[in-house]
Amino acid sequence: MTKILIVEDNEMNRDMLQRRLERKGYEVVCAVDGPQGIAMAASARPNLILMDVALGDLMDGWEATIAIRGNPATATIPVIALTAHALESDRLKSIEVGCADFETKPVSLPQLLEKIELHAR
Amino acid sequence: MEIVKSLPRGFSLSKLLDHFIPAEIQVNAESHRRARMFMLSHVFGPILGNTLPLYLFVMNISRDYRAAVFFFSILLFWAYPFALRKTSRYQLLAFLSVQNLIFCALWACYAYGGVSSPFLPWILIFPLLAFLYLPPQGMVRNVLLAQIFGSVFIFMALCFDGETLPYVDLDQLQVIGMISMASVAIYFAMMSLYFAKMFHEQREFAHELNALVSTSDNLRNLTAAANQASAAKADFVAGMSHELRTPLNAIIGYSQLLLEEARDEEDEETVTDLGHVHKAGSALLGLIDDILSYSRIEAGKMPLNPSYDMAHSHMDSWLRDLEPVLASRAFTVEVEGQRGLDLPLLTDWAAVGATVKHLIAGIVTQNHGGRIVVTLAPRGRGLQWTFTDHAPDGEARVVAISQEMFEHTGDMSASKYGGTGIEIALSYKYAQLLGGSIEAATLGDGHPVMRLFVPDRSPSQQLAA
Repeated sequence: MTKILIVEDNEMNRDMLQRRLERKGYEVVCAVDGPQGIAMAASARPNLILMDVALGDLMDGWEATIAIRGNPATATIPVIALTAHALESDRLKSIEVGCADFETKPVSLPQLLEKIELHAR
Repeated sequence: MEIVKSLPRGFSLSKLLDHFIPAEIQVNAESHRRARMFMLSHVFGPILGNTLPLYLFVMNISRDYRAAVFFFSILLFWAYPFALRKTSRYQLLAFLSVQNLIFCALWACYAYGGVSSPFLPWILIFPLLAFLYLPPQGMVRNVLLAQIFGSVFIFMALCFDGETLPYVDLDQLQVIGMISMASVAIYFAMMSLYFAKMFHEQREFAHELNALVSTSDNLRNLTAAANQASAAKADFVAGMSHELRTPLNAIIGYSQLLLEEARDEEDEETVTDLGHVHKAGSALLGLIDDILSYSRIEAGKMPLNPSYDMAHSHMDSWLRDLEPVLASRAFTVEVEGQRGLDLPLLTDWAAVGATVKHLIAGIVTQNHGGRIVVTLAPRGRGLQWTFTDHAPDGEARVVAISQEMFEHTGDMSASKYGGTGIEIALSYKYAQLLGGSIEAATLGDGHPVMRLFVPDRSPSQQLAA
């Protein structure tokens, strides 16, 4: 079963996305901020990470992605960035820091599922 | 009489003077002013100046070569206006004219009394007149001063070095001496007034310049304050949009989740109700995104990312995005113009897509049932999109949009968004951001059209533009 790590600080968004993905048959684990996301990427060894870009004051999603890419144990896990705005600059920044793809919120589930199937190891 | 023939009807002194001044000199205000002074002296100077040799002749004081040389050297000044018109060589002619003046005055002094001549005061006007015609700076100034003082020195040397001066009865020159002195005094008074007026105007100009600089500083400060306020407004709108989007995302997401569950349970009533919640939430999210985009463009915070591409590569995707709104309004869209579709263009295609989609959405939003024909064609250094509205009441709608949005773009308040929709206003802003334009019109057959022009941003096209 494909295991997905959701890194999202907003409780409702996290819960909603987790339930929708679980309904589609995925195993889902969650982290509430950047440091926890980095730690869980190493410990839970997910097949794919859904990374919210705006993660609060501790660390943003791009910084967390850079840290995950910098760790040899997690460097190959594909990361899909989730951002609030469909800006070209956000998309470019996501690719620049090493994200495999980019999706805007609110997520379109069919579109997200396509990307998950494309990138999940 | 060439002058009289070619003078325009309604004679004026300025027209007479300008008749002799070539167009290339009239282009520069300072050169034109100097040339006019030059013309004034040369047109009327000989008339006044020759009263002196004529007086000497009439009064039988001097009816010989001295008066003839004096007369013709003054008469020679009339040649200068014609020479200027013919050659346009103002500096050379002004320089020669100063030589002519020096010769006239010094000849009169030499011929009629030497250092006791009643014409001696005329030496004083040499520098005044010389620097009225020519700029008092650089090589020209040095040469003129050297020539004036050199000529006077030679004259003095001739007078004091035993050179025999022509005989003249100084008693007979008393009247002309008084006239000469009075003329020099009047001339000096006129020049003093002229220069005083120049100084006064210069002071006033400096004063006005200071005032303008001060006003400019104030305007710069006000502009900076306005920019700060605009940036603060954009930040506020961005912040508010984020605050609104977060709970809205939850509403949309949970409604989708519940919809999926209701569909699994085949609960059609709940599916319908949740569908309404989801649709309303999505519409609200779209509106918030549009307001955010509008605010970002206004605050100059929407950077462009141009790339070479063709409309052909994007059109299908944009129409797919529009499918829900087109379906809800029972509209169809037809695309024409292969040359336009295949035209390579350097522009921000994401922004072009936003413009096209908002424009079509704006056209269809206010009506139900119809057809829009989108025609693409190369135009100048860019691409023109023509949106022909075949919907009922389309004309009235486009006229309303045109009046509301295009004539009052500087006064688009949130209250107006409800009137004709933010889509058109936002497409207009996007078009501006792209360096293009949108215009509304009605075709001869009565169909309303909206035309969007998107310019090519490639460097060669920008240079050419």
